[in-house]
Amino acid sequence: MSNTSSLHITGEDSFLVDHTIGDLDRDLIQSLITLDSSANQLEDCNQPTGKIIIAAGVWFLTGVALWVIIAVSL
Amino acid sequence: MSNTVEDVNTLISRETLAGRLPVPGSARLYNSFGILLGAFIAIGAASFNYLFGASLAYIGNTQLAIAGWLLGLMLALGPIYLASGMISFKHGVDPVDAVKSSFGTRGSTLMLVMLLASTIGWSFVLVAMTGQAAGRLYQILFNPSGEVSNNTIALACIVMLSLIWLLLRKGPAMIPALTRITSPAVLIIAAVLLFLITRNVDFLTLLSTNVDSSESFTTDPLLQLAYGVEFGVSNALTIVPFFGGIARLIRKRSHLITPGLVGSGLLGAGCISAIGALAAIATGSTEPAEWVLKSAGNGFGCIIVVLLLLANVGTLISFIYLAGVSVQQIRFFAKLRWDIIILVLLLPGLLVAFNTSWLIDRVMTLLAYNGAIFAGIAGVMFSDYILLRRQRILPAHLFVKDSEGAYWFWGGVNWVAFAVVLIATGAYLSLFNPMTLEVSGLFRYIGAGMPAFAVAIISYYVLMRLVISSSTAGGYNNIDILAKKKVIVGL
Repeated sequence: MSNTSSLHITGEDSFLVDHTIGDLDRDLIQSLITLDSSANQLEDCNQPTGKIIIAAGVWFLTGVALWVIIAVSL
Repeated sequence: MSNTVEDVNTLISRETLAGRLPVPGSARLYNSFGILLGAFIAIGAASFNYLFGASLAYIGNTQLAIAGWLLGLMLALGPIYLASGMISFKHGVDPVDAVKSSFGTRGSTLMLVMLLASTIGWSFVLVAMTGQAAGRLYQILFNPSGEVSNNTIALACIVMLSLIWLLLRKGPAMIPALTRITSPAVLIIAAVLLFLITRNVDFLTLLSTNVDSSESFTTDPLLQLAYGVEFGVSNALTIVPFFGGIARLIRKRSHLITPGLVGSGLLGAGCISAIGALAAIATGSTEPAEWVLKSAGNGFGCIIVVLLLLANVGTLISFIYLAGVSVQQIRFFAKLRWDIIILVLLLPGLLVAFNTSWLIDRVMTLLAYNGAIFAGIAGVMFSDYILLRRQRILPAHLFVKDSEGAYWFWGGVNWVAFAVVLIATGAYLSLFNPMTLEVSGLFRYIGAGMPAFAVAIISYYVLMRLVISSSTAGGYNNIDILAKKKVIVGL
C-alpha cells in the first residue's frame, strides 16, 4: 500500500454499493493501490511515451507523404 | 449441487465484471508481438470487409481505390490509437472509464452508447450477412431455379446467435482459444480466394481493370483516390470505442501502435477488402457467397463459404464480450448473471433473423455516420489527454461517482466536449455525406475524417484553455491537491 492517500477505505461495508458486487469494490481499491505501487511504476507501460508517439507519427506522415506523391503523379 | 452451480455462476459474473478493474502492467495478457498481431487480425478481418471491398471497386479506379484505402488506414490508425488507447494503456482502465477524464463522469455515457451501438450493430450486421450467405449457398446448391428461402436465412441466424451464447456464457475464456484458430484461418482463406480469382486473369491485369465508368462513383482520379483514403479513415475510426479495451491488456510500449496497425489495418481490413474489390472486378458480383462459388465452383466454394461464415464467430464473440463488459456500467446489468447479460444482448437478434435485409440497410445507414461522430470523440480525447493534461490523470478519480471527483465538470458532464463533437461532426458532414457520397470541393485534397479530427483537437484545446484559465472544473490546474484528496471509489 504505497499510497492510499487518494482512497477512502472505511470500516468494511460502509463504502460498498451492494452486497452482490461489493467484493469488487474492494478489488477495485486493491487494483488502484497496485496501479500506484512502485513495482507497477517500473513496468514498461509506465515509462515515457515518446516512442509511442513517434511510431504513430511515422505511420501518419508516411501515409500522408504517399497520398501526396500519388496525388501529384496523377 | 445447486449451491455449486450458483457458486460457478457468481464466479463467472464476478470474473466478467472484474473485466472493468484496472489492469496493472504485470497482469497484462499481450506481451508478445505475434499474439497481439493475431488478436488484431481477428478484429480487422471480419467478413463484412469483403463487402466493403466491393464498394472500393465501384469508386471507379481499382488501383487508386485500393491504394487510397490502405493509405487511409495507415495515416489514420496511429493518431486514433493515441487518442483512444493511451489512457487505457497507461492505467489499464476500460475505454468507458478512460473517457471520463474528457467527457465527465456522467458524460462518458456517450462512449458507452456508441460502444454498445457499434458492437451490437456490427454484430447483428455480421449475423444477418452470415444468414444471407447461408441462404444463398442453400439456394445455389439445392434450389438453383428458385429464390433464397427466408426460413433458411432465419435458421442460420438463430444457429449463429445460439453458438455465440454457448461460447460466451461461461465468460471470456473461449475468445483467445477461438481467435488463435480463426485469425490464421481467415488469412489462409483470403490467400486461397486471391489465388482463385487470379487463376484466369493475372493479378496486375485485374488490378488495372475498372468497373464501367457509368457505374463508378466518379471519373476524377484525384477524387477516386480521396474516396479510397476516406473509406480507409472511416474504417479506422470505427476502432475508437474498441481500442482502449485491447490497449489495457498490452504490456509493452513498442506494441501499442504497430501490431494493431499492421494486424487490424493493413492485414485484416486492408487485404480482405482489397481481395473483395478484385473479386467484384473479376466476377461482377458484390456478394461474397456468390463470387466465392463463381470462382471456386460449387463443391470447393461451398467449403470456403462455410469456413468464412464460421470464421465470423471469432469476431462476433469478441464484439459481444466487449458489449457485455461495458454494459455493466449500467447498474441494472451489473446485477444480472453473465449468461443472462449475453442472452439479453443477443435477444434482439431474433428480430434480425427474420428481417436481415431491413437490418443491413438500416444499421449500415446508422453505422455510416459513426465515422463522423468518432472523429470528434477521438479529437477530444487526444486533445484532452495528450495536449491539455500532458498525460497526467488520476486513475482513482475515474471511479468517483459524485462531485468530489476531479472529472465531474458541470453536473458530471463536460459540455465543452459535447459541443466540440457537434462541431467536428458538422465539419465532417460539410465535407462528405457518407450516405449519398456527395462531397465538397475540398474533399478531393483532404478527405473528411482527418480534417474533422483536427477540427476537434484544435477547437477543444482553444475552448478548454478558456475554461481552465477561469475555473477549476475538470481537475486541470489543481491536480496535485486532488491527488491528496480522500475520495470514495466504486465500480
